Amino acid sequence: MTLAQVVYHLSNDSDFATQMRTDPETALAEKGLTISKEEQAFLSNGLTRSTRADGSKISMNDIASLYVGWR
Amino acid sequence: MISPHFTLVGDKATKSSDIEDLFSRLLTIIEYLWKRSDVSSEFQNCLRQALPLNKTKIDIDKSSNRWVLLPGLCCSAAGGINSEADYIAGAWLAFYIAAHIMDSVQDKHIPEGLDISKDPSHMLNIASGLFFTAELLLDEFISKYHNQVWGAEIIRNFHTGLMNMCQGQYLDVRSGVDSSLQSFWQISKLKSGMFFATACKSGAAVVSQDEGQLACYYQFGYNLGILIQVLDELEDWYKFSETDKRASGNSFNKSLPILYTKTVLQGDHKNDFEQELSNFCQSLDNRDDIVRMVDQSGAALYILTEIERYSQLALKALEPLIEKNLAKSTLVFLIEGLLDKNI
Repeated sequence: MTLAQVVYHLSNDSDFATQMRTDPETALAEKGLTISKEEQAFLSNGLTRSTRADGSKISMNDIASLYVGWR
Repeated sequence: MISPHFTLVGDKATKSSDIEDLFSRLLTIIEYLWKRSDVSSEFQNCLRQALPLNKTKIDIDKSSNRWVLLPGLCCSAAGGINSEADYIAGAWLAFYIAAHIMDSVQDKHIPEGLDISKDPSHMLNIASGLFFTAELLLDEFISKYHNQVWGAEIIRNFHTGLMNMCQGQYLDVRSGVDSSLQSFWQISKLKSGMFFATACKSGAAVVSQDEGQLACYYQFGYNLGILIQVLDELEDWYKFSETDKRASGNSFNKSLPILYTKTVLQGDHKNDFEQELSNFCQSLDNRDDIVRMVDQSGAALYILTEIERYSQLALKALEPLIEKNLAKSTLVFLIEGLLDKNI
């Protein structure tokens, strides 16, 4: 579950998060993690969607509330 | 582009005429098949209660109502007419409701909107009746289809998809409290991915024998099915975090946000989280602590990334399809509507 590990480090390691923006290959290699280019693209879009205009991060409750009654 | 009949999934303004028309056709077919089977009107009535076909007001927000249009949409997108896939749609709906009922027996509760008794024996009997209703529909499909060999192939693939769905259910039941993030995805792919893949591929196969094209519809349905599972997890999380209802132990511990957090935490953080989960089964007092720990682990980003993954894979699956028509646009719109949530 490498993607999960990458997300965890992105969320809890600011140095890793910074390096992922500029040099994702090195950032991942230094952590011993590998994700595909496709997964990097999904993650990039996920990061965009999870960050508000003011730079704050959305919570699980924020996303969950959007999908209440989605069916 | 002509506006498709669907607007945003979950949008209260979505037109229901397509669903109403399909239900009207299916009701005629199914009533005829039940009558021909010579089962009692009492038993027919029990089965009728479980199906959404004969309700005076169709609730278009019910997932089973909406998704039953998929076989017809894929048939139309592949160059046919929606109604050519009616038997497939009806069989898929009957299987969907039957599986839903059996899940309810496992979870020990009746889902909202199902008009059936709470007695597990009764529920299993109704589910069985619906499974064989589905088989009657597939038999009728074969008897009327112009190409018996290809028709048999469609049914064979349909059954294979359902067998895999059953395998997913087996893994789900067997996993118990020892679920993992890996098993969550494996189960989702089998239970939901393959089930929706079956709906889409079978619908398209009614008018197409192009294996490349059918693979596209399969992949579309597969990724849509997994996406639906993820969105269901979000709705369950909302219920957990915002209501006073105590989550049932097993289903809560097997939820995606919890499994993700358990997977990524290490050492003392992991032990603390598992202790909180254990305490939560006894009381609701530490719900806010669990929510905080899940948020800190990055669960929101993880789930958004996975929503992105399966949405994009579903859309990508449709790209090779040359036929540009309203049905294909509707399939695309189904996915885009799910992504179009303003955060």
